[in-house]
Amino acid sequence: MRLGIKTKTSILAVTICSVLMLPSVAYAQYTGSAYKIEEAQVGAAGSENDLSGTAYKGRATAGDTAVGIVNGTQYQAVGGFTTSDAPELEVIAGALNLDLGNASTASTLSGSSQFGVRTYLAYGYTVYIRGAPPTQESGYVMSNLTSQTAPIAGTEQFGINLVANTVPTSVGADPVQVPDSSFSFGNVNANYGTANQYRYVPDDAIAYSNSSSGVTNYTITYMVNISSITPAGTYIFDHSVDVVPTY
Amino acid sequence: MKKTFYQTLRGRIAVATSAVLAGSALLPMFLGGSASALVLTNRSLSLDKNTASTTGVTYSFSAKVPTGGSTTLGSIEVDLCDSPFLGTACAAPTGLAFSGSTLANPNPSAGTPTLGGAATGSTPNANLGTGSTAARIRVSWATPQTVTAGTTVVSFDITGVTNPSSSGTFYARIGFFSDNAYTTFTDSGAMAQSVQATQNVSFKIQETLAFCVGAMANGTVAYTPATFAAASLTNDCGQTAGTNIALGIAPDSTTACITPASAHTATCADGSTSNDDNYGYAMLSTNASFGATIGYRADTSGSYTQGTLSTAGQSCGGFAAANRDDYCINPVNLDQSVSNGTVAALVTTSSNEEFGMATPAVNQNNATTALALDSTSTGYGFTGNATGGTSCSTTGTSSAMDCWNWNRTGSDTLATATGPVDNEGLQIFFASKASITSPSGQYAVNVDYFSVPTY
Repeated sequence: MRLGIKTKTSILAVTICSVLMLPSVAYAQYTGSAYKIEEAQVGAAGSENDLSGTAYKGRATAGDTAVGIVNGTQYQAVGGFTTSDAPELEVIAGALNLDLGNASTASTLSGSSQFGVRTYLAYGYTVYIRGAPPTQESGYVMSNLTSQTAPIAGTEQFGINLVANTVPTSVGADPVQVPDSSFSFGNVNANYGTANQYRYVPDDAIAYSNSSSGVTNYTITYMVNISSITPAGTYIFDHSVDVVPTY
Repeated sequence: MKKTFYQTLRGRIAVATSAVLAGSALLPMFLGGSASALVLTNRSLSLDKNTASTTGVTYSFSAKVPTGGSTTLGSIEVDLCDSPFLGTACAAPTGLAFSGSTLANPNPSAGTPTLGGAATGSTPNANLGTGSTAARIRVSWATPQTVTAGTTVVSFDITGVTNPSSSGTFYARIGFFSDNAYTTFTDSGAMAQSVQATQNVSFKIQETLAFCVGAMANGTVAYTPATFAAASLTNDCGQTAGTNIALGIAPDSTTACITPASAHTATCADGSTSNDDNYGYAMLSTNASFGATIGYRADTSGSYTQGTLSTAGQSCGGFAAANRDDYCINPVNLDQSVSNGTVAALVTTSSNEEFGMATPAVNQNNATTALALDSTSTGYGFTGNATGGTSCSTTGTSSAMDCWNWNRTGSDTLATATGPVDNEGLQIFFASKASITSPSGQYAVNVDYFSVPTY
């Protein structure tokens, strides 16, 4: 009888001691006829533990580090040990002086440039293109395409897009998510997202993201055609990208 | 002892539990902050020019009053800084300036919003920043406005801003106040923007001029001016039948032969060459912004040196009525004692000699440009007929007149454009009548055409 009392007491003591182990304390192995627990660790995060024996196998983790942006349509979270609470915007665009060459009524001029966008703690961003269409030194302004249009040599046209093209030549590129699409979420606005079609309306939205995003590298393709009566001169397209994050 | 051990464990459990609970109770006190200032939502700053150092830029601010935020808006302060951390040191980006800025498109628009007292400055409100190097702008409402928390989007534009001089990111710290004196701080937030180096794309378009002259066969495009004006002309005189035009053989001294002789004045047709089926035309295409002219001069080099119809190698003493028996056909104007390069009618009396030119029509070739004829007293833009129109007069001329002209010694303008010309055509007629005293022979003249664009 007394033995039974001792047994109860022993079991109770073991159980209570286990509870009192919080936070993490490594204990000696626990074994029974049908189980075995090796190097049990309860409490602190960050480790994976193998639980295995001849009759069982298991793995346990009490948690792990989450880093980066997680989002859905109704939420957004940024995880990591040293995340900042400061809104951030980075626009990567070096100085650009792109000379497309001499225009001709017989062929189409084209060229491209790149810029990158990164935002942090934003609900998203919109990229606007600012600047008048190419303007000649005497003030003549080229006709800009107000809707997506294919190039036509001999017709005065100016337009851009932000995708890879094969017309008038292999020029431009689709957006590139850095390092990949699980970290970066930039998109091209539909008005500038059709290959081989060009448009330019000043102050148009050309790209966007619906959440904070790592770097998305965009490529702008410029397309120029002239007619036989497009005035002579040097034309300059002085422009900038206005990235507007919403916090 | 067992009891003691058990009792001891129970005591330890009790102590441990109490410690945990006590620790838990402490936590909320450390997590709480100020319950009065909330973060503005949907905050954004947009620029209408993002190139560094640009002047005259409009900065557009927008922020939503947060749920639970203050419902009274009296004033706003914005500080442009090098970091977004409210309450910390704020240094404006180098070159950024609000000098001369104005307020535009404020919302709320009621309550007389204005750039507040000391609208610009460099010392931020203490809730927004410290130091004295901020670029500060303030807006106040003479009558503080009621706004709806969670709904009202407050916005305004500041014009005339000078962008930072260096590329990169900068920050706007924005604070709302319920009074119009920037005293009672309510809600706030920060946003980021950036400027970049100059982004230029350029290309060149060269000056162009495509000018040609030729002979158009009547069978290709019929000679009537209306038909020529409406025809589809092939660019660059692609329909030309060479450069020779024949006036045929005058049947008598009262008939003026006019190109194309075989059709226009059939009795002049000589039948021996297709050149009497031709009339002249020119085409012009140029991107000259300030337009162009088409002109001509008599080519006195070579064998025909008299500047009018003559036989080869001849030199004539005069070109007036007294000189109708030499080997030169007098110009239509000089024969009638009208000044060189001034219009005159074809006279079909047997004693007159006359040679002249007219340009009856322009073909715009479905273009939107406009080459224009000259129908003045020194022009050539007339019917191209001997008779049938209005009689030619040197005073008050019009294109409906049967006038002809020739400049024997200089150059004249046949047509002009005030802007670019897109492959337009110009019809050219010649007319000639011999006098009863004109010697027989083969008479010819070379004509030199030119175009002068102005870019």
